[in-house]
Parts: sequence; structure tokens; C-alpha cells
Amino acid sequence: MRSKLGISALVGLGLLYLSVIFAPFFSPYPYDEDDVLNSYCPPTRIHWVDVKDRKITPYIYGRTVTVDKYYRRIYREDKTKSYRIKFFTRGFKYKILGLWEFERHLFGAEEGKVFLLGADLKGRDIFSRILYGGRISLSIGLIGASISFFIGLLVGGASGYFGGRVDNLLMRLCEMVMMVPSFYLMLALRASFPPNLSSSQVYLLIVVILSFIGWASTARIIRGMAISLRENEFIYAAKAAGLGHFKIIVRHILPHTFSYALVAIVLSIPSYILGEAALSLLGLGIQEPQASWGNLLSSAMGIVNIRLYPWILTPGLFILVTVVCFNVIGETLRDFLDPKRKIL
Amino acid sequence: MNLLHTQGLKVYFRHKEKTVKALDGVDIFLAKGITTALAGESGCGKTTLARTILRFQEPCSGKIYFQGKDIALNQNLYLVRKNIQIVFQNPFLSLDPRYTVFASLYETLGVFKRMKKRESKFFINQILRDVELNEDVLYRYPHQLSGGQIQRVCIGRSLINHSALVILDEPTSSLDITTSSKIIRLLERLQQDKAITFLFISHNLKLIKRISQFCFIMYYGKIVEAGPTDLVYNKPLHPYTKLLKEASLLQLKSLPDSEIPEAGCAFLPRCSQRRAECKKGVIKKEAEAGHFAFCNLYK
Repeated sequence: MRSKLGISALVGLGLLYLSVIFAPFFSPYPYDEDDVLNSYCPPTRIHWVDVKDRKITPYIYGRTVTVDKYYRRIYREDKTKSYRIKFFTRGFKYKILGLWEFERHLFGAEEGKVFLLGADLKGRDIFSRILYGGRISLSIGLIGASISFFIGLLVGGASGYFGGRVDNLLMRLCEMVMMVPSFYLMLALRASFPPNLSSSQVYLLIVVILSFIGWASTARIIRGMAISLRENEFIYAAKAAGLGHFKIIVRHILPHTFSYALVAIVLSIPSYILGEAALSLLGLGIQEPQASWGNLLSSAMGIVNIRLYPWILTPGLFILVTVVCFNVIGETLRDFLDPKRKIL
Repeated sequence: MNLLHTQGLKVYFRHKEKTVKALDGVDIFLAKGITTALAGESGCGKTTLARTILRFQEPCSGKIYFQGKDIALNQNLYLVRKNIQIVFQNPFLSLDPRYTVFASLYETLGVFKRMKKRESKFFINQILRDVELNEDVLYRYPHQLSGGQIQRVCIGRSLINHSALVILDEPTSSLDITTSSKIIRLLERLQQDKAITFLFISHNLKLIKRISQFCFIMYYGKIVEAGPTDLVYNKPLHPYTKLLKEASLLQLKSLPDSEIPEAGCAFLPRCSQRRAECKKGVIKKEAEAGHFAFCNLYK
């Protein structure tokens, strides 16, 4: 039962990553293409039954816009005009994996625009922006978690292996990092860097900040495992043979903690995704026009906007699904690696 | 010329208010090229002594000299790692379960001499022949081998860098009788072939009689008797040695550590021939050349 759930989560996550890697192919429009005429356009309704041609084929109607007395744009379907949705259509040019130039997209309307998940204030396609934003949100989790695990493993391994004063020092350091509420630490760290950085710099910065916060809890658990491992005779044998401390830690202690580390790495990824979302939501993370799931949600901060244009909340749904998937996979892995242990 | 000797080695473990004297002024010496045995019941400090010699444990006081050099100094640590190796009691824990036999041996071989895998093959095969193992164990993991096979691998590992001294910490006590007798035979042969110095730690006096030429009997952190093994076994001086020989420890009530007297003979509470002066201290009595005991019986 558990494994079925785990596999479906894995498949779901795989699909998500695939669609994010090939974001330009799946997205009908560029993520930064402004189209003020379609500001806050609701999700386009897709019709299937073509009465005129007696066929089942996806098509959309044209749109007419009226402005009400509050200057709100009201979109209505114009049934006189219908446009087919075509697959593998030509669109904007892009490079697959940054290598091959390509201009085909999975789908696109003959004429007019198809907004699967609606449009935002500037009339940009939210679906396309979610796919592009996923590139940042989903990769930050992986990279951040790997970096902090690298640090956590080394610090925890060294701390547990050496014990004594080294252990004391490193563990107090860990506690200092853990003691500060992580959200404030995140804000403080972000504040200590200039606000006007380029988007790739901000990206790197966020990764570094998140992994700086994340390593401590890992280090503590790896330390506990290292303490029990270091009393093993094969560690003493390696010591007696003259192997250096670093080599003993890396070759004989850390490999035994890997199965745990793997579980914990997966279970910690959501916190990175949420951390990035939180920073971007506050406008401290990825800046417009670059998309990330966090800054997509930042336009949904006002209650009025959510009431009037509920579709701008969809990036939150993607975050939810991703976080749940990672958690389910982590739990399944843990059961798989150690069916006896119930709590980590 | 002694390969290694200790002078007044003391290792105390402090737990809150209680101090456990694991080693309380131990003087031993290991002559080059023979097997010296260290016997005593469990908890008497045999393994602590081994750990101290290997510098896993810092002594509170006392010195250890190896080839005439004080090994407490950091500059001589290299000497210890290069020349002193250990084989542990439990073979199943002595090899990293994630490494094949080849990987374990190759790693040890590579510590002092950088070597390509292909070159190392020659040395590793040679050591496997020395410990009478087939080549097909090379790419197996420890859990795929029997205890005897792993213990052979461990012995091979301790010899692969041509160490001068190998400490065998009860190498046969977790093996069955046939396997352990094979291991003992292997150790005897290796000693004859390679003239290595062994420090054989055991609680079994019969085994010690068979394998060693010289022995020390230890009781709660102190050496109580020492001498050529034949003499110690056939004409034991100390009452504790007599007990060990008869292996009648089970008949005695086993004592908690706290009942070890602060001064005087540690064996006093168990001794059947105790005297009044035993509470004050013991004297060293040398019976024959090199055979001595710390006991007041032979004044």
C-alpha cells in the first residue's frame, strides 16, 4: 500500500520535473510576454464538440471585453469566432536544454490566446509562468538540500568521530543556527546582501541562505550515528592501520549513515521549496519578470485579488502537490530502508 | 632487546565519584620475535592495555617505549601505526561491512605506500596465501564469509604492511573449537615464517601455554605474575594464577569493582591464603630466572 503511494508520488514528481525541464515546449507563451489587453483573463474554457464540423476536437471561442463601472475587465466568450487548439504548433523560439534551437510547442490556439490557468495582472499566461517558475522552485530544493547535506554530513561526521572539544564546539554552533527562528534568520541573511542583484545572483544567494539554515539538524543526527559507529572495531582497525581521520570519516563512517541521509534529504526538500516561496512572496527572492512559485503567489497576497481572480492561487497548488510528493517519497523510502524503525 | 616495554602505565576512568583503575602501574615487556601472552579474566584491563599501546587511549601516567622510543610523543605516532597492528575478538565487526575483502586489504596496503590496484594484486594474493585463503574470497563481502575466514583476513590485514608487533585480542574466543585451533596453528606458522612479535591476549591459560613463550597474568589493572609460560603454567606462584589454571573462576563469587581494596593486594577478597600484611602491600618475589609474582606467600 505504502509503496504504491510512493510510486505514484515518484511518477507525479517525475512528470513535474520533466515538464519543468522542457518548460518552453509545454508552455504556449513566453513567461515574460506582457499582454495588457488580457489582464486578469480567467482560464479559457476549452470546448470539445464541434457542432459545425461534427467532430470531437478541442477549440476555444474568441473573447470580448467589457469594462464595468469599477473599471473591472469582464471577459465573455464570443461564440461567433472559434479557434482550434493545435498540437505541435509553431510559436516563440527557444533552445531545448540550452542546446538545440526549436520552435514547436505542445499546443497553441490558431488565433487568440489560450490561457489554461488564466492570466495575471499584466496578461501573462500563468500556466507558462508556473512551468518556468518551477525550474527555480524545484531546483532550489534539490541543490539546497544537497549542499546542506554535504555540510551536515561533514560537520556531523567530524563532530561524532572526534568527540570531546571538537564535538562541543560544532554542536554549540549547530544549536546557535537552530536556535534562531529560521524565518528571521533567512530574512536577516537576505537583508545583509544588497537588494539590487541580478536574478541569477539572487538565485545563488537563496540557495546559500537556505542551505546555511538547513545543515544544522542533519549534522546533529549524523553526529549521533557517528558516535555509535566510531566504537566499531572496524573503525579501530582502520585507525590502527594508519588511515587518516578524514579518510576514516568519509570512507567508513559516512557511508553507513547514507541510508538515513537519503531519507532525510528527501524529507527536507519541501522546506527549501517553502523557504524560497516565502522569500519570493515577500519580494526578497526571485524578482519579476522572472517567475518562481513564490513570487507568482505574491500577486495573490491581497484578499481582493483572490476573491476576484481565484486562478492566481494555482501556483500554491503546485507547491502543495510537490511538497506532499516529496514527503510521501521520503516516508516510503524510510519504510523501505528500515521497516522496523518507526520514528526517525 | 625488548621490542616494547611499558613503565608504570596507569589508566584511570573517572565516572562521577568512582574511579576505575583499569591499569594501575603496569610494567610489561615484549621480547622481539616471540609470542608474549597476557592473561586474566574479563574486565581486568587486558584490552585497555592493548588500546593504550595502540594509542587509542591516553595513559594518565607512565611511559610506553617501542624500539626504544617513547610512543606518547606525536612524532612517534607514525611508528605506532606502521608497526603495531591489532586483531580483534569479534571478526564480524572488524571489517567494514560495506567493503569487499580486496577493498579492505587494498586500503590498508595503500596507507604507507601509494599503489595502483594492479600492482597491489601481487601483494594481496601473497598475503592471502600466507593466511591460507583462496583467491575467490577477494571480491566477497564480510557477511558472505565465515568467522574463521574473516579472522584470517584480519590477520592478513595486520601483516600486510610488515608490522613488527601484532596484538591479538582474544582472536579465537568467538570462534568454534575446530576453527580456533586452525587459527592458532596458522598463527604459530606465521610466527615461525616471519618472526613477528605477537602479544596474545586471552583468558584461557591452556591456550596461552600452547601458543606463547612468555606470559603476564593480570588482575584488575595489575600484573600479578609473569614468567616463561611453561614455568608459570606448571609452577604457578600466585593464587590467582592457580585459580585461572583450574579455570574455577565460576566457583568464586564474582566481585563488583568497588570491593577491590584501595591499597594492598587487589586479589585479597578472593584469596584463600590471605595474610595480615596483604592489606598493606605485596612484594615482588622472583622464583626462578625471569619468573616472578607479586605475592606475600613466598617471603
